[in-house]
Amino acid sequence: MRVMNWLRLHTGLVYLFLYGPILMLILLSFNRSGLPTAWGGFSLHWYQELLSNKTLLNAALNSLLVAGGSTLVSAVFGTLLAMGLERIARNVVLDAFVFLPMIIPDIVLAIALLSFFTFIEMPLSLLTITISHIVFNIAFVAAIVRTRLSYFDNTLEEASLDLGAPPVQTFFKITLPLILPGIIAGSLLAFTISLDEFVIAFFTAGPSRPTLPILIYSMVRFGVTPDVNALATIVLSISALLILISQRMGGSEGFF
Amino acid sequence: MNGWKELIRLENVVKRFGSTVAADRISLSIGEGEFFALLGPSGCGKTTLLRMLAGFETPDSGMILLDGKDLTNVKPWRRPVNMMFQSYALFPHMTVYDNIAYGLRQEGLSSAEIDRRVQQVLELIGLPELAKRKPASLSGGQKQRVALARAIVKQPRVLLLDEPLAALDRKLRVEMRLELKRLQNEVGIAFVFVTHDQEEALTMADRAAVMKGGRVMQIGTPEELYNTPANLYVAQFIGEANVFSGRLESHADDWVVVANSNAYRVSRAEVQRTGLARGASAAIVVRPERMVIQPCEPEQTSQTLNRVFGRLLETAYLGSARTFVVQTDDGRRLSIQTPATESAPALRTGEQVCVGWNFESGILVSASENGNGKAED
Repeated sequence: MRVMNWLRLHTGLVYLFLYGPILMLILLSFNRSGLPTAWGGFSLHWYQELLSNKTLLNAALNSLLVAGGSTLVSAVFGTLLAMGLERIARNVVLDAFVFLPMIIPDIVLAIALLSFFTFIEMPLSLLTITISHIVFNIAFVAAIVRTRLSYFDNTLEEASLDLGAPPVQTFFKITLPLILPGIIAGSLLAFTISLDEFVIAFFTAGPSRPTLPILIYSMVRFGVTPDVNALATIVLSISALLILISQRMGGSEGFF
Repeated sequence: MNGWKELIRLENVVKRFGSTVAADRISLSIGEGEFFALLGPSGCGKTTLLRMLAGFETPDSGMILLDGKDLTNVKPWRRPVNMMFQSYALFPHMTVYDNIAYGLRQEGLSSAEIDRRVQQVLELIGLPELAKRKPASLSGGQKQRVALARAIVKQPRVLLLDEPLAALDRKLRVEMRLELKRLQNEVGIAFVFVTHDQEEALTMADRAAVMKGGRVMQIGTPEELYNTPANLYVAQFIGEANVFSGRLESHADDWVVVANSNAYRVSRAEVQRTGLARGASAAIVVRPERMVIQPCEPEQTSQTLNRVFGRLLETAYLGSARTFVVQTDDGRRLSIQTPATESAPALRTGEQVCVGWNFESGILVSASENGNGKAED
């Protein structure tokens, strides 16, 4: 019993360690005084401040463009890649290399991509960030769709062919609807990761249009301002929501 | 077999997967409206054959003809052939209605026509109230019927069934045998089904092909397969068989098979039927119900009765019949079945018994692997 009590205490402390700072940030975003040391009462003041900040809104729009664009492309190609790996290749080495971009240190990938863009003389812009994000997002989508595909019963496709539906129709009427939860889950995850990705975006961004994380970084160089707390809280909420939906859809049982 | 008309013909179909031969020069014909079984143990190539008929596999060589037209390289979605899968393969994201209508929608029929045909087939399988349900909420037997409905609603020339009853529990399986037979009669489509269960094949099929190692060992009606098996393999696969294998010899006008230095008489009709020659390696097959068992009276001899002595190992009462297992003096195990109503002499296990059969009910088969004693490579 005594050991159990210790474990309980330990678990509590770890959770406090993990989530304490984040809780603090959320609390401070509602702090009227704007000072990290004094509670001045509950207020949405800093959120109002955010809405009137043109630079910030533009950066948010840039981030949405990058995340949206890279997610769309990754959803299509990641799904096809997952199908190829599951049906045709079934090769351990190929598998490992597909999922490598998920675990390569961001900084390495960032440097590699920057060198690549320099090499092909492509000017840095939102497009280069989007392309860079596609690199790792394809891997995330492919990984999740593959899990879904491994539960997919291939005789369903044969049944469809047998009933007179050619391969393309079979894909759209049978395969796609059945793996769609996996594709959506993978896309949501990709979107979330892209939305708050900093290192790679920082290296491959052009001078004029920063994404949200890059802008926040430049703001906090002169100390954390209360409106950054508010912004961080919003980003956190969106990410958490997307991850939650993604997990619910990625499971083996899915919708049905 | 009156009015039998050829629908499908396979000519020298060969299919290899790596080093295994799944179909080894298979030639056979299936008639219109026929209930045809592909029977054999797992790995005998029966499923591959079915999948070639469906178009999921292409033969390495040989031809598949339907109505005299070459079907060999026609894609699955263009064949007038439909399949019922062993796992049923119902589309989980569609209702029963949409599952059944799926194939009809591919044909571009009007929705009124589709509706009429779906309702009709739902009536036929007796499940009109399930139209709006999803497959996950159906029982095994209901799924099976829906899978069947989905395949026959297309009115194919041939319906392929892959182990159609394997996924059902025993009681339902026996019921569904009759049900399938009834449905087949009603729709008049040729059914080709794959099974490893010889009882299933015998009860349902008009004719069956017994397969082994990618080859057809024999094609025939259930009666032919049971009463005149082409070789030892078929004899042992179909029903129970007591086998006495040895060499075929003749004394004067009598033919015998010499096995373990005992000679067992066999009818001349059988020798003529099989075309086996003197000295051929042959076996006599006796079905359990053709054997008699009695207490031993060593002096008794008979011209018409082949006799074996042994010890009774087991006996079981089955209601309509009684079965016996006897270990013979030369070490074989025989099974005997007698009608239970017969006032049989009381036999106790461990007792010496005499087992016999009328030589005319012994079936002669070639004991060489490839049947009929003819040399094959």
